[in-house]
Amino acid sequence: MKKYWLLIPIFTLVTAGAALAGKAITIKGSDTMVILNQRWAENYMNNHPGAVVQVTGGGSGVGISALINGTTEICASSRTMKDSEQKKLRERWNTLGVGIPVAKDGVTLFLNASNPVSELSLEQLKNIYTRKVKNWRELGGSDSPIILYGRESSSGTYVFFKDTVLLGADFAPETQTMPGTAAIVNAVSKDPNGIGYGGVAYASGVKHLKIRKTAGAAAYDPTQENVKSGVYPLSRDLFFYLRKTPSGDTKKFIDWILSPAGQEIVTKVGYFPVK
Amino acid sequence: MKEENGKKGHQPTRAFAERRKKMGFKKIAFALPLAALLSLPVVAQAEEPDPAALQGKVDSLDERMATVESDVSGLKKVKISGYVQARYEASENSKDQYKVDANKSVSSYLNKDYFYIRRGRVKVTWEPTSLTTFLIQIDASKNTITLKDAEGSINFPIANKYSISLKMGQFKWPFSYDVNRSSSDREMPERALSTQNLMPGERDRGVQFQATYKGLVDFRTGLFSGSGIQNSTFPVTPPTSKPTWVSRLALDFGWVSLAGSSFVGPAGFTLPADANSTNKILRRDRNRFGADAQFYYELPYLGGGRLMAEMISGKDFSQSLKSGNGGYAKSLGFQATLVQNFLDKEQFAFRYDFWDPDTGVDYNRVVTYGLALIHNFDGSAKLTLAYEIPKNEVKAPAKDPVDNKTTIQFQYKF
Repeated sequence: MKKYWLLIPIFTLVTAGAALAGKAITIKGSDTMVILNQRWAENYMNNHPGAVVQVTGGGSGVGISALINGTTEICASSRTMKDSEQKKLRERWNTLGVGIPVAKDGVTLFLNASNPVSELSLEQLKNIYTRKVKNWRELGGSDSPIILYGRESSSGTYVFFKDTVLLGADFAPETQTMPGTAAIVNAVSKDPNGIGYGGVAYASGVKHLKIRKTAGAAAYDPTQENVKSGVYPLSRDLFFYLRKTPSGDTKKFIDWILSPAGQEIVTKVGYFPVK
Repeated sequence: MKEENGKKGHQPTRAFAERRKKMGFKKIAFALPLAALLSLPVVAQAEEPDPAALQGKVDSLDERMATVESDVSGLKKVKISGYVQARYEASENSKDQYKVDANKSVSSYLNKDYFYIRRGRVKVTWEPTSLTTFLIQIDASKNTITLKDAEGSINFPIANKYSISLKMGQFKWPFSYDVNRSSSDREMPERALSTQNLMPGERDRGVQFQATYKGLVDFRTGLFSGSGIQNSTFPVTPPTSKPTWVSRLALDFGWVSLAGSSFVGPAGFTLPADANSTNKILRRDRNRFGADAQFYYELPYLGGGRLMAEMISGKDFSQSLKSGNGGYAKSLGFQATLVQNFLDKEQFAFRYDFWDPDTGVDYNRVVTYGLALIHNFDGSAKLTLAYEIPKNEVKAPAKDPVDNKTTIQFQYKF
């Protein structure tokens, strides 16, 4: 050991140097949240000179993988972490992850403006996306085939929809995979027979459905009141996940996000404040 | 009228000439736009693409895209991963000396300070559908290539909460946390002595049934050859037809995990025999029982930490062993490891490792204290500095040999 004692201070210098070097706050993950994250980052950096916040998308699954791999400090996720993901994070970093809700959202079903259908139940949505129902005529619409639009499997919205609406069943193979909610909205706006889903902030230029939990229940719009009260069946929290309880610059940033100033940006982007 | 060329004519007046000139201009002026108008359809037709041709191009692009999508979709089902552990080890009992045998040939070298590749793993996983998974893993290190894992699984998810799977091939025994934890995740360079001695190679050939309930319960049970992949006497086929039954039941509550494991089966032995004779294999018990627990916590500012504890007891028959157990040696191993995160990507680990190969014999226990510092550069690269202090129980006047070991390891995963 005597001749190797020098390794300890060298190791310490290497690691401490890497830790103390100025670094940006990195946020990676949800495409649903990417615009919101970018607005937060821009506003925070404008109001806090010297702060650097870097934002990338890729989907909630990509963000969670990056959190597990240690390549991002904050993972933006539009769904809760799966048991298997928490176990990998725990195995790698001795933590189950710290999840902080930063906004609320109502997953919205988009229809073309010309589609006469205005409300559906969760069961009907499941039948649509598993191809048990293939024609709008069966739902009170015109006699035309239903064209399905959806997200990639790395999307948190995809997982949320699969778990909450499809109850674990697979999406029909005919579902056209789009890279983001904006792409889904664009496709549905041009397709009279299309249906898609995504965050409520993207519901511009298309019609949205009222959703009822069961066949006899009341149908609700994805409004702030309905999402915050939970009566809208597809209400969800949008999360930041970290490997440990935030401290230092990261805590200041997250505290600002949860402050009235940060939550005002949530409303401007089109989502709903967390409180 | 002036006659021109024998024809009677008249001298045109100046006004007439002017009119003729204007007429010419007018003709030109009229002809030019007319010519332009007439040529427009030709030009327009040259610039306006043929809709049928465009549709054909779009259709062909669609077909090519469909082929690309199909190819990419197939490729996404194959995953290649692995890791390399490059090490420098140095032991305090290393000497620049060598030993010779009775024939004066070199029998061993006493140097223990050297660089080497401890593990070079490449794993290929193929999931053609959600129902089946195939995996093969090799290790290329120490100048050899060995097969580590080769398995196929059939998965039966039942709703979102339950799942059942059946696996066959060569894979890790469903026994103990230390056995099943990947070497790429472990903080200390090597597994505990009890694991190395009682579960050598960690793997065997067999079939396993697994049932899980959410992430809370994980039950695995299987039948295996029993000898493992690292048995020097029976590296491929076991000596006896009776398989070994290995099981593990784990409960995972998130912040704490608890598990119990069992390994029950015969070991086969040969007795002295005459030449050219066929003799019955001598079967004797080879059992292990284990219990393990992991506790997770978080400290302010430092971050997450984990305390792991595991105990394994073993029972093995030895034809040459003379002990108070009548030919059977009962072994006992215990390890406890504390891992603490600090700063952003650093970890500190301390392990207490107790191993008694035969509880009926004195002066053969080993207790090893291990310390490790780990720095994670990113998700792929990790630097480990470890120092291990083995304390051997010896009978006076013998002394515990000075054999502390320092390990510097650089690991990269892909």
